[in-house]
Amino acid sequence: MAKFGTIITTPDGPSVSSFSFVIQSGNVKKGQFVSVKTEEGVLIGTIKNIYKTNRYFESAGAVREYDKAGELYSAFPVKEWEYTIAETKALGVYGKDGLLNRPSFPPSPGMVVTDIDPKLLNKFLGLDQERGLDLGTVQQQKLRAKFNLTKMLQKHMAILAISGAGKSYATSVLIEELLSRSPKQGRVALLVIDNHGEYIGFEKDPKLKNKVQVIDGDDIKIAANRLSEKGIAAMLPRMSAVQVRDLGKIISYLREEKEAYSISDIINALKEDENISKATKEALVGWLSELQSMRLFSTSEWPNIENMMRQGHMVVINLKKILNLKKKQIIVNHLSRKLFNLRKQGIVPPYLEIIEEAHNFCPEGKRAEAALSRGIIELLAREGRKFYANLCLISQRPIQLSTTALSQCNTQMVLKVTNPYDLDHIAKSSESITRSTLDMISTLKVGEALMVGEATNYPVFIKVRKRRTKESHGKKLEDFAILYEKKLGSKLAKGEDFL
Amino acid sequence: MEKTIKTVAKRIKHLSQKREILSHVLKKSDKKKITKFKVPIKKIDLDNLTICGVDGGFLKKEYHGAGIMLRRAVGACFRYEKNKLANVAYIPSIKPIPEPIIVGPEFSDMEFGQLASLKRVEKELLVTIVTIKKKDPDVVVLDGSIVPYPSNIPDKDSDVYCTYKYVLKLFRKLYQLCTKKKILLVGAVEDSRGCRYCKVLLKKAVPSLLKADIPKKFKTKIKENKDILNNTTDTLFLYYLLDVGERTAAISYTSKENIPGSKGLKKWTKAIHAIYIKAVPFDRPLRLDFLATKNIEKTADKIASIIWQISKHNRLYSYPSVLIEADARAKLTESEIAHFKAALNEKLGRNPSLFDLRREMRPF
Repeated sequence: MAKFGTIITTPDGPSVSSFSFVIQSGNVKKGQFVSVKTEEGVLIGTIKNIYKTNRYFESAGAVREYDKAGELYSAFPVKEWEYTIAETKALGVYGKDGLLNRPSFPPSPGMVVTDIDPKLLNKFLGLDQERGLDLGTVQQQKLRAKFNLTKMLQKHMAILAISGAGKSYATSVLIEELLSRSPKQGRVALLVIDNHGEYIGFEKDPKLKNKVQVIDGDDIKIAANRLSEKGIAAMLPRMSAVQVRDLGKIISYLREEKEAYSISDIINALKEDENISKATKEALVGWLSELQSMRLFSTSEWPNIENMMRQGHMVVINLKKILNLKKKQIIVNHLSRKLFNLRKQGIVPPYLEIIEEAHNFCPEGKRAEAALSRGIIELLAREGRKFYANLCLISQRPIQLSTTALSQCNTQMVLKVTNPYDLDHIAKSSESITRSTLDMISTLKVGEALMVGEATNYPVFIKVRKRRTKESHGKKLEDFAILYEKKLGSKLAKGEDFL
Repeated sequence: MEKTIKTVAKRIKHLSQKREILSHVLKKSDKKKITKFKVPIKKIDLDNLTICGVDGGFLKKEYHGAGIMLRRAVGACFRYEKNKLANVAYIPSIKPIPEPIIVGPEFSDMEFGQLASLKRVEKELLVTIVTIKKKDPDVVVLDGSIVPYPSNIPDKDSDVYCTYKYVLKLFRKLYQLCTKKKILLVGAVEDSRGCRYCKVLLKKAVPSLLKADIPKKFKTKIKENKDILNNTTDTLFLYYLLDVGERTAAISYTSKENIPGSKGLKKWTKAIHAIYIKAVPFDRPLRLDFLATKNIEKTADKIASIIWQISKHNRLYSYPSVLIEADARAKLTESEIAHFKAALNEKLGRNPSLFDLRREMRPF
């Protein structure tokens, strides 16, 4: 292993929890894992901070004076005094028994700090080089960031970052990995709630097109005759118990009378019923009319969720064209609930539901009527694990995402986040994120991510690998503006022709 | 307390004023070229020049039955090209391992102090000689004088005397080597308390000025304030007398006075001289001792030019850069002697010889 440096004494160390070393060689970077052979075994540490020191620059007054003459470098061997010190946090010791223990005795000053053996690091981080999901490389190390499927997904996952930090890209890499798995490796079915049509490109990829089905949100239909009064009440949370009971009577009547019926049939039956009070009738008709205007409900259901969920395959629900958030939430609520029930019955395979812009579907602190899908997402977060119904929530505003749901996402992939409230929220939702790790999150570059939680034994920064499938980049703002103006110009020209 | 402070401040101010007035009058007289107290330093470029600074690091600690000394010295050799530092080399190395010296309880406190000082000088001289042999420099600058300090001279019947004799031998060897190789040997005295230059002014310059054709008011001022020359160090007075970029005339180290220990230098006694240079505006003049057997003023000119050039980078502090670097490399910390003692303890166990002195281990 390459030698990085030698442990030095500082006012606080070396101690059992931290040590510093003077860097002598090698490309040593912040966040890198290092090892030291001690009496206890192989000590593993991670570099928390790197700083430089030079005695010629210690006195502000002297530096100012010498700088005035502009002669500091020509008068003194300044560079000879520059030392680079790495402050390192001790993480654990692999003893002779091969087991990881907490360090109980500090390394000695003078001990040699070296690069870490990739095999040992793999073991330390709990990565799975054989069957893991290859998301990229562990930063500063020659080690693939391959995370075990079960550890990463079974207790749910969250992907958090500001807009443009590479959330969708990282999610696409995750999807590629999941779709590329062989039956021997263990495969799950995928349902992606695609708010902006970012994943529809998979359908055109030559390698994956046979494994991907894109469903346009506008085409989705919910069979009204399959909805109970409670199902409708979930979409209309303001309904009172009396109103639910009266609606139930109407639904029972319609089920006896017809095999298939629509929302308009319910409305008509309500209007004709003389036993329901006028006030209840008016309220129910109003709300049902609102549902009807969404053009989401029909006499039959589409698509057939039972048939579309297959292991190693992905269904993308493209909600790009739907502007009404309530309608989107009803779709997510309907599909998620139905899928979960089918999973519980063992009718559909184990699956991962990826929800983009999850804060829109599972918001924190909003009233029930503005969070129609929150209940099922929180239920999945709490109970899905037991039934192999797994969640992956993606959000650019973690603080607006349900704390209940986020705290159940035991693996978090955090890309760049700068908002201090969001950072605070992330820290609160994961106990393994320290202050210094949090500071690093705000300085991550696009494509760099912190993996924390169940998937890894210790928070680790990774560089997300390149996609193997074709990217569907949006146009640049300038290019789009030019194109739009051209289109506008041609429209006007056609208008003038009419005049 | 306030009254005392006022009295002390008044006294200091009075003495400073006397120095300032006298130096002012001497400067005016000097302009009339009646006599030469100070000389402008010629600016030179440091090109193709190797200057080595040698300094030592030294620690001593007394224990119940032994004394431990740690010493090392470093020669920092700066190679200048086109007035810029081109490269640097260190003799014997960039950070030599300190050399321990253990002494028994047979030395008195005074002897232990003298031995320590001599051992330090001894190490510096040994490294200087090696530096000269290895680097063949143009100039060698030592930290401190280039003669033994009078306070370091032991009694002839002292156990330390042999060390002193050896140090004298090393000094002579150094002079010989520098003369042979035509190396300028300079000692930069960091905080000189010397007063020889003021004595020379009082004995020679002042009487000649009083006899010379200078305005009467000058003579009056000189008479009123000349006594300050008996009551000042050279650097305190020269702070007023010298302007930046000026040096004093060279004075002989021994002159006609019998300087303690100078006899030990044998034939070299008369070759030791001193000048003061004012390198920067807000620091005291720097005393430079140097070796010159002939062309004393010419040598002083050359030395002043070179040392000024490497000491003028900071308006508040003038000291040769080679010595700043050598000092930084050679300096020892208290912890180093503690580490050495700990290593000894490990071998010896709880040995009474290494008990700390009671005065240093009060329990409360």
